[in-house]
Amino acid sequence: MTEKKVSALEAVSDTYHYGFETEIDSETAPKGLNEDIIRFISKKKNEPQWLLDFRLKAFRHWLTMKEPTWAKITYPPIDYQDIYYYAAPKRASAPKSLDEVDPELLKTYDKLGVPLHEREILAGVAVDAVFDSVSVATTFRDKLARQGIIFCSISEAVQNHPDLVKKYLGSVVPYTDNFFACLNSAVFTDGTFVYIPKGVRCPMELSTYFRINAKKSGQFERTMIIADDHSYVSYLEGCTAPQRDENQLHAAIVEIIVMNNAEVKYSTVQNWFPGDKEGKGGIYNFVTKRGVCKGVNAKLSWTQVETGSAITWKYPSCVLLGDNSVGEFYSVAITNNFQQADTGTKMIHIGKNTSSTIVSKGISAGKSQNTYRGLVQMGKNADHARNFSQCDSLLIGSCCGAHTLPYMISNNPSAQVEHEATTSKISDDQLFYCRQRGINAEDAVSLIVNGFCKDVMQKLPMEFAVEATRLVAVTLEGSVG
Amino acid sequence: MSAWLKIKDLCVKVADKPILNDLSLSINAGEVHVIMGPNGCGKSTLSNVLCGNQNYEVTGGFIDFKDKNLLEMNVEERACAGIFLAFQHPVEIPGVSMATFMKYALNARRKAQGKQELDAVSFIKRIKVRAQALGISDEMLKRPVNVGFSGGEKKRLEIFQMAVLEPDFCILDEMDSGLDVDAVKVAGNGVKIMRSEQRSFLVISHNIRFLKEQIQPDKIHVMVHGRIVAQGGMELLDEIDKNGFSAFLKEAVA
Amino acid sequence: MIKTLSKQRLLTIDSGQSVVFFEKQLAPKTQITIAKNAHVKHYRLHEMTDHSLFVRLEDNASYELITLHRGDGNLTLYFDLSGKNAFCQSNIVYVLSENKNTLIHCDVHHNADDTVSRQFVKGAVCANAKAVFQGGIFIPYNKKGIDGMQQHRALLLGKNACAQAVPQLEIYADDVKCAHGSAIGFLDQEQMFYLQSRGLDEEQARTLLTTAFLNEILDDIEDDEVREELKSLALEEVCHGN
Repeated sequence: MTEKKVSALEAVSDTYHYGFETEIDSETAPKGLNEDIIRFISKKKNEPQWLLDFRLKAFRHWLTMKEPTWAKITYPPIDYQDIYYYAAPKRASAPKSLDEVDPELLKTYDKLGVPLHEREILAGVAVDAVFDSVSVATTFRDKLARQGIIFCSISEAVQNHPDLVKKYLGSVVPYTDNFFACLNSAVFTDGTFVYIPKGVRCPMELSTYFRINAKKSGQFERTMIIADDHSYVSYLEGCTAPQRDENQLHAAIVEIIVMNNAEVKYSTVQNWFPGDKEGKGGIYNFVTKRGVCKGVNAKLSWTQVETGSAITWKYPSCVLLGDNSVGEFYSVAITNNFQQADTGTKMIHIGKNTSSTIVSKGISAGKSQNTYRGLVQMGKNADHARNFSQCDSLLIGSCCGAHTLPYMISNNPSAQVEHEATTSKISDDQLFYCRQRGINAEDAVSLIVNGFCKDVMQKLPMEFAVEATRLVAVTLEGSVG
Repeated sequence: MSAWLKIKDLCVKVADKPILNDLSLSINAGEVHVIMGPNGCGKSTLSNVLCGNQNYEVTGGFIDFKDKNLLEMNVEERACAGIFLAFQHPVEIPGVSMATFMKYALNARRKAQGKQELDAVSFIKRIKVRAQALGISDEMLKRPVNVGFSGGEKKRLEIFQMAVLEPDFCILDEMDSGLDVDAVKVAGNGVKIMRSEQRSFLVISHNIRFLKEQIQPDKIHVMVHGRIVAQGGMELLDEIDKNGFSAFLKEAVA
Repeated sequence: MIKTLSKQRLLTIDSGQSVVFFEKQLAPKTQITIAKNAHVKHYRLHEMTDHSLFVRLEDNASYELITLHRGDGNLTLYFDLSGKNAFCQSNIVYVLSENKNTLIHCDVHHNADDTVSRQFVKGAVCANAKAVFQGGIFIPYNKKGIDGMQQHRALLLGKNACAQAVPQLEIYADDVKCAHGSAIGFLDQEQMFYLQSRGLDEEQARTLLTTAFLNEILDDIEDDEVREELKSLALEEVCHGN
């Protein structure tokens, strides 16, 4: 591990690595949003009537909603009529095998370091690649299917497993939940669908790689993971986008359902384009991620490393319904230059003996703003429920901000809620000590920051940990003067 | 033989207060020098200035090391040029293991010397050999830098870093303070192992027994009010042991 | 100098003075300015409806507050550390019984360099009462050498009681050291068992442990009379809640 980290650090050059654009013919719906566009998307995807109805219901509700303003972020108004809601590489239907995938696309994913050729696969990771609005390739699905695991794009799931999708779509995040979730419910294009049957331990990491490519397009993916009784799955999500002057909107939904004694581990390394040093461009990331531990002893664990996006608005949450269920949230959020992050989690304790752990590490540099916002709620019947939260912030430079805003609500005398938070800067003494040993200031900062984040980093699966460590260094570049 | 470290007429201010005044000192290759003096005389200021700590403002004089002007170099450049400070109070760096830390430091140095990075196997071998010699367990190397260690363990880890990095010039700032007898011995032993023709030491200490039994220096300097007021050999230790610094203080005032 | 207006009480502590005072009959609004090098110890009892306290501290001024709150209204505290080296310690005990409902809102603004704030808040929420504690530490741009700390601990004792806490750090400067902590829970069950094994009944054990928890703050009151009065008032409210 250590060895890899060092070489990775030195491989770093000075800007966003994934800022290139793929020249590919794409098919887009006309700009703007109305019922016709939604019908167009639904028709393109050959969807059943119930799904179109769901979308239209969501859209009509969305028209009555207002964009939320409570988060500690500022941005110019988004013109929802100036966005393409559907962009797909031509060849609309999903390819049957990798040979049918456009070679330009394969090249793109090669450049991103995402393996779509199964023969070149790294240590057993199955990948679903989502390019703009559609899933372009899903690997290893046959192997997984032999164990009854469904791993495909959500569009395919709608066609092939409509009952499952219909049963759970909107069951964790209803379309009325919030402005961005409602928008997603109306226009979502693709995403990943995972079903792990009873008693199955998924033999490899499942992964989706999201890529926004088309200009002026929004990405609205929807991911759904269902872990049936006694099953286990570890799921990874990665994302990048080309470097563009304009801001692009990303409003996704992730819904997770965890049944009796099942466990889901969801890891994200979010590396959307953060905008340039002057704060121009970058992705607006408004995401609703939520899972429900439906059964007894269910466990849901979120791990996120947030380094990208101009704006991050994201609160991966756990509804702990089943008795003894467990929720975890491990987060590193790094902001530099003009990035703004308002992120955290919600732990809703409903069942008895439920427990949750929150570890959040925020690092702000440059002129960025970084907010931890969290809610821990102990319901009336959550006897002996437990929560512990630790939120630490690190400031680098005198022009950035770090904010901590936990909400704690307890309605049960036997429940225990505990929150600790600290804010500090990298001390001059620590920097001097490292530099006295010969390490230059920039490496020293990334070393100290990686140490600060270690509790979270070590929760990431191996494949992601190296990448995440390197991203910390890249994101903080130029933060020490 | 020309001196390795040459300090001439050095003047240093901290927060506008003069601490070092026209201080001059030379140390040759392979020599071990000791600086003693009453509290607040500027001993720790000198070690910080040698390493390039920017909280200390140099207002006059020069420091050359191996014919290079140290004052023109920043902290890490000096470190890579072979200057090492064993800190009196080593700072904690949570989450960063000692092994990782040494890997960064060693490779930074090698890069500055135009050498290749050490491969993983040679690196681990190098740190393990030195750790064993100082009674440092693998577990201690995995723990974060200076976090949760006793005073003695921290000092031992400072010596360990010195042994791994093999610097040309070592400054030991109160290496023995706050240690029990056994820990002092381990620290002294570490220095003994490290002594060579191609390595000089500047030892700051109050502990006469430690200096006599463990360090056995070539030269003693007495520092008062930011100036060297007396120089000599081991005999100076006996004198200070007997009479303290009072005689030197009077001299400095006069 | 004390001016009493119908709704406001304005106090100015002149520079260099040291004052200790106990305030029982609160006006709806109290405003205190502590001039340079002045030191104030302030003990108070809050039993009525809404009240707000504003304290401004100048250079090197210090302010130490211990408050017992058992009112059925909102308490708003605002500390403005506007002078260099100012020090502010604000310790609050709240006990709520019956259907009492309160919002304690406390903002500490570090508006000058090298200012230090400490806050310890302990509460007991009994019966059907509801308490919301909102406490913030705010540090604007370009401030240096700030040290802020806030600890909130609440015991939730009633079956239908509800406690909420929203501790907040809002920091725009890097030369800072800030920490906050908050916990909501019940009494330690091992301690309860220990006391019961020594013959106390459940209610006695609960009362004893609860008052011990609260008295950790009240015991810091230096004036014997004030301390004992506030402690007995806290005990009374705890017993009332049981």
